[in-house]
Amino acid sequence: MPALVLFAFFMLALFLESTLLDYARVAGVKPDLVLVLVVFHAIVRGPREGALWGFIGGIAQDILTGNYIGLNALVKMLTGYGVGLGETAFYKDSAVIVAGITWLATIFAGMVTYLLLLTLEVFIPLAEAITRVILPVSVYNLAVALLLYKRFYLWETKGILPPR
Amino acid sequence: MRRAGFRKAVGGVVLFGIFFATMHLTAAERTMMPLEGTARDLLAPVQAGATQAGRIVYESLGTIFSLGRAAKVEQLEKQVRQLEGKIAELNEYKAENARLRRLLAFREETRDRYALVAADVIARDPGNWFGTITVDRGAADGVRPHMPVLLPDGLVGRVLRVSQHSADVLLLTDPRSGVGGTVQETRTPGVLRGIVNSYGQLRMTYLAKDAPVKKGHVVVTSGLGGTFPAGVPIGKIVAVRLEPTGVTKEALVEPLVDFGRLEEVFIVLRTTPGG
Repeated sequence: MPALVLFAFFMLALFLESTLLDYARVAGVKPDLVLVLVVFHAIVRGPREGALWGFIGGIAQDILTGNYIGLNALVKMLTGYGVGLGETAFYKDSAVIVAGITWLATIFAGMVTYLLLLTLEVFIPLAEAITRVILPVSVYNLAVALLLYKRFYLWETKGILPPR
Repeated sequence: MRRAGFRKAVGGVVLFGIFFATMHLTAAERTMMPLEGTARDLLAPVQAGATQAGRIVYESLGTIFSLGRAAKVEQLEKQVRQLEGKIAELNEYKAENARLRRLLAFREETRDRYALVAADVIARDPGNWFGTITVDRGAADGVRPHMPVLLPDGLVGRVLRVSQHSADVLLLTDPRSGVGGTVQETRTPGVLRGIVNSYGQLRMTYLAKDAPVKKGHVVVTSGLGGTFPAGVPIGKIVAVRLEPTGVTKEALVEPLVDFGRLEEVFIVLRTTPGG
């Protein structure tokens, strides 16, 4: 049941983000594990799966926080789709390349979030959004991707999440 | 082929429209929808346990990493680790005891001013954009949106959303937060706003260019707007500068509450008339 296992991973990531990871803040931020998982999955499985799991992870996050339901679903779905479009172009064996893609994807997701927040009349100075949230989270996500991608890739290709 | 592309595009636009509508519909302060509230209430005890575990792990990590390589006898190392672990656990209880005593004293002192309910912090916003916490008191305990949240140190924020047994609190440091404040020494009014991803500072805006405010002054709530009682301490001014327009000044305020270490808070159910 790969879908159930993946779903469990997303729920675990979300759960950690709202509890234990608060004690692992660096430069005031914690990693966006759900986004990292979306990027990993999209790289391996392509745009359709990337968008689907971006939606699932994002909507679960929205329901848990109760903040602007649909915001994270939309951002992560777009990010998953976008990353998935490069599925055949990326060298999937390299954790360094995937970490770089995760970094870029986090910046993209951050900018889309910023724009959507503007439409919701949440006005944050752009410079503060970039320096206090988007860049620090992108670096943290990059580090997490470097640490976790190889393991995830093995699970996706040979282990508990075999290719369909 | 073109037909499929068109259908995809229409689907995308419809989906975007739905998300956009739900984002706006769920932006306001409110009582949660039944399904949302039930999911939150079911998850609350698990979150509370994990947050508590996180605190203990966090406290214990320092102990584990500080053990060093000096102790070469494995048995002794094991014993030391066990004892250090016990000390960390006891210190945790000791700190909790001190906090609870302080909260109890505060409740007694303010009995004639506020009707308070104490709440434990069970989770934080999983994202990095907002500063909200989840507490283990909800509508069943009389908690409603907009209620002020305090600590003996000062103002924490206000209730944003409630389910039956939990509530989300918008911290002062959240960029969506706005509180009317007054500089205690000079009675200068202003508005305090949160700074994104900052547990450390607030921005007090709309200060007249010649307002007599300076570093070290204390800021308290003004009571204007009716959400917060007047005179609750907020923080100390750490810097004053001209706003980019050059017309008004802004002050950076360091909150008196340590937002990085919130564990219990008080929700003000009502203020006593004249209090």
